[in-house]
Amino acid sequence: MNKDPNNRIDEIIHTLQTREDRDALIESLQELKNALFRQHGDVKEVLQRNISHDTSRMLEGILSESNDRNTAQELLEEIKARSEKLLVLQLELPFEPSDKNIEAIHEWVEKSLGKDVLLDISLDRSLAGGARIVLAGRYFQYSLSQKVDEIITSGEHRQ
Amino acid sequence: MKLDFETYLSKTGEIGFVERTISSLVYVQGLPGAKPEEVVVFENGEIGQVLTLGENSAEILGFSKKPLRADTKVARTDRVFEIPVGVELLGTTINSLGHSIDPTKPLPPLREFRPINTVPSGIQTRAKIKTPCDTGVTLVDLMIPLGRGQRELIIGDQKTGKSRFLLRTLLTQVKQGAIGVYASIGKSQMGTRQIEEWVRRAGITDQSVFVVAGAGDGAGMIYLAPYTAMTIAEYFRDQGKNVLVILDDLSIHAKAYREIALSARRFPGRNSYPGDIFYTHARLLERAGNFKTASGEGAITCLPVIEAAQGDITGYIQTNVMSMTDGHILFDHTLFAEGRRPAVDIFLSVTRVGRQAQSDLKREIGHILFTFMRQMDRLHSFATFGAELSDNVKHSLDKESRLMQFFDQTAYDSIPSSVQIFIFGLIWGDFWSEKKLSEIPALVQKIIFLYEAQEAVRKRIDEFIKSSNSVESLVNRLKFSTVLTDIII
Repeated sequence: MNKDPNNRIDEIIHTLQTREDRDALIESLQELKNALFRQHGDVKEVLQRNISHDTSRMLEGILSESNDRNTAQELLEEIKARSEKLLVLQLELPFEPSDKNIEAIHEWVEKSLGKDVLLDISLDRSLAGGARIVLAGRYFQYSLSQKVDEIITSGEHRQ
Repeated sequence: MKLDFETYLSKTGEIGFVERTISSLVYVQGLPGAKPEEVVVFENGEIGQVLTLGENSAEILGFSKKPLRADTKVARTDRVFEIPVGVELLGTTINSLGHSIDPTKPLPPLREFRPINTVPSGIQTRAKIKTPCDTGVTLVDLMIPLGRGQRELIIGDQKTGKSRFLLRTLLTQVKQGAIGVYASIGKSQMGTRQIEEWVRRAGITDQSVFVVAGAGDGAGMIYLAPYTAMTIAEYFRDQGKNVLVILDDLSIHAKAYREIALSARRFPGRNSYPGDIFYTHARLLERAGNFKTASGEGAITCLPVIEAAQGDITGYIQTNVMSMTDGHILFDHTLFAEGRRPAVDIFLSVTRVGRQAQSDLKREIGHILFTFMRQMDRLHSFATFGAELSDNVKHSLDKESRLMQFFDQTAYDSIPSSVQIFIFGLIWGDFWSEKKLSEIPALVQKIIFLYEAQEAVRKRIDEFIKSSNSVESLVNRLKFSTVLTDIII
């Protein structure tokens, strides 16, 4: 059964977890667009020849239904535009998260916010623990180092 | 205004990131709660002011000389732009942000802060201008008089003596107890240093404040400078003092604002100036005037300066500022080239408010002089025909020469008002008709010296002038009284 292209695009967008994922996807889309412009042959063949296996598998489903290059270019533009509109959550952590950590955090964030979100994770060991979060211009400090500073400043530790 | 980035970041809970910088403008992504004119602080400690707001971004006017890097963090402060004010500012040179420009002489901590953008006072707090504002320059004081609280535009070509006139006015007013605020807007460092040096040698530094935004500072700093100066003037006015504010010069200020507006892609108006350039200057100059304050009446007399290239006073900014001031004094480059000092064109200069503050005697003198000079001006064109001149005409021309010698103020900075009237009486009454023209400057200097050095002479002349209520009585009393011999002239 043919899926609606919008649904397929949603599926592709949903696979993106981090900003790096998005940047890599956009780079691949650009390469593919250039390749479609310059090279001859089937769209699927151009896809397989020019971009990575994982990305081509992702895009195969949506591009294979039409062999028309113009339609393919439009779909690629649509994917790029929608991925650029994704909300980015900046996360500063005191440790390097593993892929599993990233997946878990991403799932939790999407569940909490109710929409597709990209993570932009950076390392700051001075946090000691906790995290610093920036989302849509709002700043949240939940670090252990700040908590310790507050305790010292308020004199609670002397009590 | 020194602000700590981390403190405000924690306090407001909002953050932005610099996207790009164009000239003095910084485009920031984030800061969803930013308000227009709000102050923001960058993570390197620099500050800026929000100009406009977009959906997810803010356009900020930066005050840093060095451009900010992309991705620099920005925090809101939830405050408008304020400068520290206090009597400790007297004798200091500060920048548009209220910081001392000499790092070896920092300002002491000041308790009071005032916003630099305020709405000018309404009519209820305004008082009639009734006290003369002496400039110490005879030509101006007698013929284009100013009043305390007046806004008088100083307009002319460059290098026509405008700054020298302003400094003399500053000297005279400070000696009469006023506070001087001099805003050097977009001038070279050397030019500003020369002015500071002049003020220091005149001994009036302790009653003056310098606000400096040099040519090397960003457009943002130049834009703020006159507002900072006016805010400081308002502080001293509220202490019951009279203040003289000199804005030198507003044409550079207009150019800086144009640069900001064009960088921000505002639609260019006439001569590429933004559409609100009139408002930019009008809301500044409206803050001057004579006011009723809790400490009594206090006046802010404002002397904005505008440059008129090649004497063209019909330009956009020139006519704008002429329409929002209470008169203008035109410095003419042709008169300057002829050697006139000051090179003021009395026929094209205007004072709308100064005459109501004058005494009857001074008003009459001004009227007589104006009529006389107008007649002489016509006579000169007639005299060039080379026809035989009558004795009356020769006498008038001679009198005019003596008056012009008297008005020439190359040698002395400030002439007290009583001395001006006294010497006018001597010339008008033909007491010096036998003296050579070259002797007049020395005689004038002698009277000034005696007036300033000897209290008895000062008292004598002051009483003499006070008791003369018309030019006729002044001249007659000079003939029959002993004041001349008493002063040994």
